[in-house]
Amino acid sequence: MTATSTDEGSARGVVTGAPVHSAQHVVTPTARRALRRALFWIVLAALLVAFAAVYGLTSRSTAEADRFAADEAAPAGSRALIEVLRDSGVDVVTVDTLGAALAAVDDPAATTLVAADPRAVLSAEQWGDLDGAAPSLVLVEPPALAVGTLAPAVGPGIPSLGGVRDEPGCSLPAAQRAGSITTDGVVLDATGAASTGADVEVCFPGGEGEGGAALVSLDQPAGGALHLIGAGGVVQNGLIGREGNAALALGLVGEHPRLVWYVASTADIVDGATELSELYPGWVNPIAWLALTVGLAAAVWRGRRLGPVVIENLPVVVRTTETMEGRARLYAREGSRLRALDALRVGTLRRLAEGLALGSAAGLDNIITAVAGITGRDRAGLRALLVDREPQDDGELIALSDELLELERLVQRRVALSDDRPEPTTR
Amino acid sequence: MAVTGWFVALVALGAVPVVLLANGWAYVGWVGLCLVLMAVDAALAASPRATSLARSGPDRVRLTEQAEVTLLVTNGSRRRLRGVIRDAWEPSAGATPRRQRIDVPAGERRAVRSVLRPWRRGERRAAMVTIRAIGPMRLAGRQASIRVPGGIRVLPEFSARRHLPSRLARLRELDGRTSLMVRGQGTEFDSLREYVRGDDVRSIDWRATARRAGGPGPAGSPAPTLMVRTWRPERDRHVVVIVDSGRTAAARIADETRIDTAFESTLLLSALADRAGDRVDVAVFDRRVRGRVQGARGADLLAKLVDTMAPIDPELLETDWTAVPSLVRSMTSQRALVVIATPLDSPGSTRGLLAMLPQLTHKHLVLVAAVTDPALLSAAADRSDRASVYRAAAAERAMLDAQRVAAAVKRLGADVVTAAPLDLPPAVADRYLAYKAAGRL
Repeated sequence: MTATSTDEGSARGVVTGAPVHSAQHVVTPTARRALRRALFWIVLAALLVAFAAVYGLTSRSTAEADRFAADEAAPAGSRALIEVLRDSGVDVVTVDTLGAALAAVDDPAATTLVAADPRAVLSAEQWGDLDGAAPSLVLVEPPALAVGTLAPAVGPGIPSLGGVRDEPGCSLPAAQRAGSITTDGVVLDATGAASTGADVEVCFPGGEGEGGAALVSLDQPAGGALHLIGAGGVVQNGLIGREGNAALALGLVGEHPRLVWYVASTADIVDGATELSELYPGWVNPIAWLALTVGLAAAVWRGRRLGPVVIENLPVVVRTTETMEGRARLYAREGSRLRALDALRVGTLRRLAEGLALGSAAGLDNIITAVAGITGRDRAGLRALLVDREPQDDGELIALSDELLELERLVQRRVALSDDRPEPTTR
Repeated sequence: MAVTGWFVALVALGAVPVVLLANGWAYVGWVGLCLVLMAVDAALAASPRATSLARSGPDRVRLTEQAEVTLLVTNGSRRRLRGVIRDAWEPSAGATPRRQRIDVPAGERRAVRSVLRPWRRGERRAAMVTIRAIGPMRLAGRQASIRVPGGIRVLPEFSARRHLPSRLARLRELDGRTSLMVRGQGTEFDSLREYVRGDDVRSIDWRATARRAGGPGPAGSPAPTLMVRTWRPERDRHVVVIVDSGRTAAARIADETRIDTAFESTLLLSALADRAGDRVDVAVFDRRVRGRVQGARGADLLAKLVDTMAPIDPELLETDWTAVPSLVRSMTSQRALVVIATPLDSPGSTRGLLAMLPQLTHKHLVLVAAVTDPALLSAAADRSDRASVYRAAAAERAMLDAQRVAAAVKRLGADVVTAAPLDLPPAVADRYLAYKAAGRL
């Protein structure tokens, strides 16, 4: 009995003798060793997770900025305006629900209420609640519902093309002071409202094809001034420093000693329906988690291999016909019909010579004569088939090759018939 | 660590408490319970590391035959070892079954048997043994792979040995044991024996007959016993076989590499020549001698040959033919039959062989045994469409090349045997017998 040494890669010698209780060696690492080996990666992964968490908490700039939010320092926020107003003694209250906004207007005579709804969460009814809430109501980039409720004569806002407008075009003091503004945001088509003859100020109207005005000032249905700032960029950190944006914003918003800055949030959503989670039984979520856990366990169950894969060096597989196939494709691609046919003819001639026992030294004429003699076909035709004809296309080549094969078979049959020698082999 | 299907089922069973309690805590609690049970079960399983393993079994097996190997598993832990064991052999060793259940009480030993049906020649190794011990609750287990050296040498099949009896019979016919043999070239005097009816009268040795009869006897004494001479082929000739293991031998014809065909031919020829009383030396060569058997006779010869050939695979190297004459010189100093088993494909790939041949042929009788590809013949006969006509042309061309090479080899004074893989070994043996009969050895 024998055991062979199994040093990988090296030549393997055969050791004969009694069954060998050789030193066995456990390949699988122990749990402790596996843990130690993986320690670096575990630590690295933990560090990465910690870093990501810290980074995500500290820098919110990567997240979507809250537009018009009073404490948002990103370009889309409005913190700059709020801070300036606070510094100049305006009592600023920032709220994010409709109820709080209405409650914050404690002095209805000297309060400016700024309302923005960047996520379009407020309903027409809620916009209606704002009507008359403050003597000066400023809507920043008002959604269609807001315009429709509070200023039905004005068309809904459409996205602005941007750019700078330097024609106030109205008598509003703030607009006059600003002189020129950027118009990023929406523009409002107020031509209908202006034609009704009501007290409507259409500021920064824009030219033909520009869609409408950047600022429309009119009366609230319930009394009080209503400013619709279509160009929301005017109050945002990113653009407030440009042109006369700051003058316009401060002029409109800082009119009264108290300012209520209201940005609608998801808390304003009227939940007529119950919570989604109340629609299904309480065990659905845990069951989903359980299903996930079962899947995970099944993956571990099926995925754990019974030992590593055994590798084996297999010899290369070389096919002998590769050169033949390659040459055939070359013939076919180049259309070497004559060359191909000549190869076939040489093979046929060789087999004919063997079949007729002419010997390998037999000349072409001898073979043709012998074939003519045994088959009775005329020599000229045989010569044309075996030597002279040149195929003009592939069809002719195939026909000639078939003729050659037929001739071989015919000669073979005649030879077998004409004498009682065993049929010649081609070997 | 490993978990079983029962563990997965146990986790899935958690659906009952989760639905009944309709609470996220039921889920957390159940999963926690499962994890605890799993850990306990794994801890209670016997340690696979504590087993000691030993292999036993044959160290050689002929290709296409099967061998049973035994793995003795001794449970060295104090717990019962229950689980699955896998004796991981190389895939081409053809070990079945791949995995088996084992149940070894503490401190006891069990045998795990598996059957090898190798499908490739050479040295087949057992890489390792993997044991997965399952805990008493059958939820989880511990697993370890243990390297236990082991291997088996898969010898060439020698399927050509079925041709041996008929060739041996032909040899006996040559051998003077039957009276067909007459005096001729390549025979040597064997013995004198009494004439029996049917013997060729030309072989009567009158001088021996007279000597046997002694002096003139008395009249009326019975006729003197006639003596005949018997002849037998020359013995103690030398046969040297050189098997080419270079890159061209790696080519696969009809599901057999050329080197395997060469080995089959070598084995048949060696068995025959050994019985005929000739000495056989074999070398496998590409750029260095990969294997060599010299001076072995009788049953020892075949055993040594298959053992030498078993691990040899073709190298992807060009064979160094210039070194072959000196190799032959080192193996024999007298005139010998040198059989070279190498493909004769194209003039390009056989240039080295052709350049070397005259050095051998001027002293030895050289026979080149080459495998032809039956696929070429069938490709040359198929003319069904455009592509196959071009293939037939290329096949004719390849056959023409092979013939040119064979003719060149013959012009250099060597002999050529070409045949399809299965026909080559008997063809070589027949050629040897023909030499023997003609006294050309």
